[in-house]
Amino acid sequence: MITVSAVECVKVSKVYGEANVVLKDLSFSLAEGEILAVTGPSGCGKTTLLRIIGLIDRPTAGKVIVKGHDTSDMDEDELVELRRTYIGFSFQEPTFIPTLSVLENVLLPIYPIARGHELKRWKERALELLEALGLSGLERRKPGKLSTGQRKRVDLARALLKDPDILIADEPTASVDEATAELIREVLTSYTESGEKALIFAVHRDPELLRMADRHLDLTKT
Amino acid sequence: MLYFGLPRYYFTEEDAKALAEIEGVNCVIKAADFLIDWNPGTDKFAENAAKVIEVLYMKYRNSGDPRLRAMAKAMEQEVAKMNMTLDEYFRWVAANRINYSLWVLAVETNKTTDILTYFNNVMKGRFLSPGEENAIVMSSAVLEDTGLEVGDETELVLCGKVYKLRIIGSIPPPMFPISVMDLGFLIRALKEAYGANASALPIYTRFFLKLRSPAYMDQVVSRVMSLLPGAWISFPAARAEVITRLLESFRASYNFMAIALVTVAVTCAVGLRGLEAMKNKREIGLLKAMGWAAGDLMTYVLVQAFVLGVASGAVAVALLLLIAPYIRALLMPNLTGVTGPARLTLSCLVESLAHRIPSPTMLLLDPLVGAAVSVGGSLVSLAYYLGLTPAETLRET
Repeated sequence: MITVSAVECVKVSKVYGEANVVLKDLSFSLAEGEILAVTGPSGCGKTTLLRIIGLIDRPTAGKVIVKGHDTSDMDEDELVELRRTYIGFSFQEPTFIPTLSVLENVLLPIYPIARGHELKRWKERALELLEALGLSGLERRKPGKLSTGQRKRVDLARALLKDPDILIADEPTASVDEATAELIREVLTSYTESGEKALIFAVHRDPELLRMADRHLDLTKT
Repeated sequence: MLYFGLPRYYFTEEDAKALAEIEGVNCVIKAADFLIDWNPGTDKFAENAAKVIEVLYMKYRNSGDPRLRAMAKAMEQEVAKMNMTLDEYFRWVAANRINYSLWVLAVETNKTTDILTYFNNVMKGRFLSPGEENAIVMSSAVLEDTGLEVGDETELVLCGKVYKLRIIGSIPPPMFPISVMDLGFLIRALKEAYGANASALPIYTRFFLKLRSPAYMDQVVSRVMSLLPGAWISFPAARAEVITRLLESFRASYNFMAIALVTVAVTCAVGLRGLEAMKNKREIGLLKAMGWAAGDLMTYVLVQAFVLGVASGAVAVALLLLIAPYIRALLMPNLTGVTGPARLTLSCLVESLAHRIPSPTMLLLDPLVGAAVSVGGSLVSLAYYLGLTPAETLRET
């Protein structure tokens, strides 16, 4: 049986400016259903790698293959299509549209694709996720009124909304209390339970989260 | 003499009596406007009418207005259906289809003989003698259009009854675009023709007041305004040049104010848009990362820009409405130093113009200008955003 990797990086490098080499010749492959933890100290390129895999940024050299699609020569519209189809991304420092409510921010990924009659279903899905992440009752609140932990969870709900094939989470449990971290880990575990979803997360100081991973990619050793 | 009327309104005999009792009023000359069925009634006009139709057709055909062009098209289709040449068709329309109306001002001619203004502007022929019947002084513009001349005979049609009138003079159109007849004669003819249906007559649409001297002008005007509030009052001003000059200055001030306010509104819209654009950069990055395509972003930003533009335009409108009384107050002092009839004419005209500040057109246009500026500004920022990768827009945090 031929299987397609969820994500494959081939000799990926990223250089900022003239000589600031953040990633160099990084190659790895992530199968469907696999969980990969990207580790390493601050500034080692974890976020950069996740953004490259999430097709938010482009590598300086090498190629990224997402669900069998080589993204090297793709234009922005094609990348958008791939992001839209396969990827959910949870940021280390979440960004929201401050004038929209929590629920509306969670629904952002589906606005361009959802038709009027589908919106109700998406709202129900968003509310389920918010509830699972312990955010019931906050759906009408503006993001500016949320704590750091709440913001992280809203961002994760947004990344999970479309039940993506690949979920990328940048330090999902950083800057949150242990109870919240536990809740986030539970949601991530439940996401990967089917064995069909690939999860990549960056982790810095959460051994519990680290234990969830099938494999570790330590950027200090690359 | 002063002259006033109320558009779409009429006066009664009681009003005339009340005016006559005002101190300083020497004589009240009653007058009424009528739009009357009219048969120009001469052979030479019949020829000219065909020409008028032809000119009208050419005007329609070459018009930029699609509705007028459609009318020309309809005429052409009718010509084809009737199997006529265009010339034959113009003559047929002139002979069979046109109903003519004449705008007549009927005035008490027995009181106008010693008036040196307003009724002494006959270009050709003479003005009406006191109580003169079966005679009309026509607007030179009407004469020119119809090919009629002073000395010709024309016909008024009142309820099917034809009254033959001799054209005894012509008056210029700019000051007097209507034709003049004797009021007594016309009222009698109307009553005769319409019987019980004309029982409301006489009614009047204008009064001309002769004053004992110009010194009474102020108090008479003030009394007229209190008796007939809202009456439009006009003065055949001797100081027309001063009036024109001051009106120009008024208009200049008004235009300046209008331009200044629109500029403020537009600047606000651009400023707001600029600030919004800066703030939007990170949001755009987020939406790109969420899988929003260029088209989705364009719709999002432009709709937002349109709403913001309309809102800032609406704020400008509110501002205009709020400061309009102050603008009016600012403009009024322009009239100081002008005295007598000129001041009264000006005060009425300025009052009338100032009440249109801000003009309805500006109120309607302001939100649209705001929206256009805002959308234009957004297009510029969009061109910049769309060229950035999501990472570039998200990086500056």
